[in-house]
Amino acid sequence: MLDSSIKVESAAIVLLGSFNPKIFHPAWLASENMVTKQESESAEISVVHPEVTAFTMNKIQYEITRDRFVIQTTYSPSFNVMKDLVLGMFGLLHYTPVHALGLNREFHFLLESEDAWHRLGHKVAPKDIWEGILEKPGTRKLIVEGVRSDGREGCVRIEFAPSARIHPGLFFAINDHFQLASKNAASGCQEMLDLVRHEWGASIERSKAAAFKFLERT
Amino acid sequence: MTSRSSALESPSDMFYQSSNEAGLFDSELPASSTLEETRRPLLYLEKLAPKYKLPVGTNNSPSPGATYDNGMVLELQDSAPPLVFPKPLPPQLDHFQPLQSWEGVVNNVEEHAFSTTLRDRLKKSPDQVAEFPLEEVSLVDRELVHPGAIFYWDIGYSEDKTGQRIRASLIKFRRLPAWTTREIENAKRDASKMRENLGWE
Repeated sequence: MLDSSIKVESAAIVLLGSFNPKIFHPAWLASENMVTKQESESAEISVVHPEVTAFTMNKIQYEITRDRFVIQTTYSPSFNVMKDLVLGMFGLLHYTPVHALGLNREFHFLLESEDAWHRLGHKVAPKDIWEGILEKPGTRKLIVEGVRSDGREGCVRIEFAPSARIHPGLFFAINDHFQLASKNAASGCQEMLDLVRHEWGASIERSKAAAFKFLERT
Repeated sequence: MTSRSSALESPSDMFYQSSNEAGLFDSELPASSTLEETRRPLLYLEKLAPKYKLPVGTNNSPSPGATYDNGMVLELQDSAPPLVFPKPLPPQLDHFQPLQSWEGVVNNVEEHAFSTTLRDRLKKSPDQVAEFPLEEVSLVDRELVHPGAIFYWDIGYSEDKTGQRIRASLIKFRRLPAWTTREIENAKRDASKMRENLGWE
């Protein structure tokens, strides 16, 4: 399987905790020198509100609510920029309580034919058991969860589905989930920052390798 | 099926949200639905947006795009119309197929060029030393070109939403906010500890 079979890919950093959405504004990022003034001025703002902030800036999407922070991009040269933004923002807001971290990846692979697409669906979710129950059963979505192999608390969850963006295509998503040690507000987000700093590069490579390994086996 | 309790305990803890939408393997239905047709709302303003009423059930894990989720019919409850309903963020369609990807550190800066050490992020080759003309760097990033500065260099095919492919070489300098007092104190403490461990005065 070649890199060229990836037609869309994305990476996201998702935090669960307690956030103040209104503070996450392009102008704030520019004032702290995390983005340029020009980038800040070209941001497409959907909403900035005490309950929710959402905007796109320089190919990166931001969505922040009171309990969830999401930063995401489909543009691979921005993957590390996104990591730096999280380190920068939460380095400044280091008292922000964060109790879970997701380093997430999604891929849309173009398969060689519709036959291959059907074969893949049958192999991953055999249809014999549905005989006499459903007519022409098809795999809509499959989610498989495993424990973390690094001994940290959390899990790795993989979602497999037909791609809605390309046909015949496969959607493969990996949620590399870290449950952080403490939920108390006083601890801030230092543990999350350390994880993002040290695990981000390895996580995105691991997720890509997992997707390719899965495709090779099927 | 797994009986292991998930770390994600409640719907509010479901922090992974897939961007993929409904399709169907093994059926004769064409997977032609677009994101616009089937995308879920990205944002709700609590108390303002319509609430979904979930009938009593034992397995509340709704799947996107379905009209019938684990035996529960989703119904719109009577509520006040939203005062604000933000437009959803547009789907991201930019794609970059990397051919080479490096992380670089600036070693030395001269009048029209700077020398660097490059680490191959795809691990295809060992570290290399390279010199770049300053004009390769975007005007807005030039003030960041100092010894020790970190940058990312990607070569590959950039595709926009129309599918137009451009061979591109992108240099992006790392931007981090200025060091905080706390970080400087921590660094001093670490340095002092290291000095003690090494037995230096």
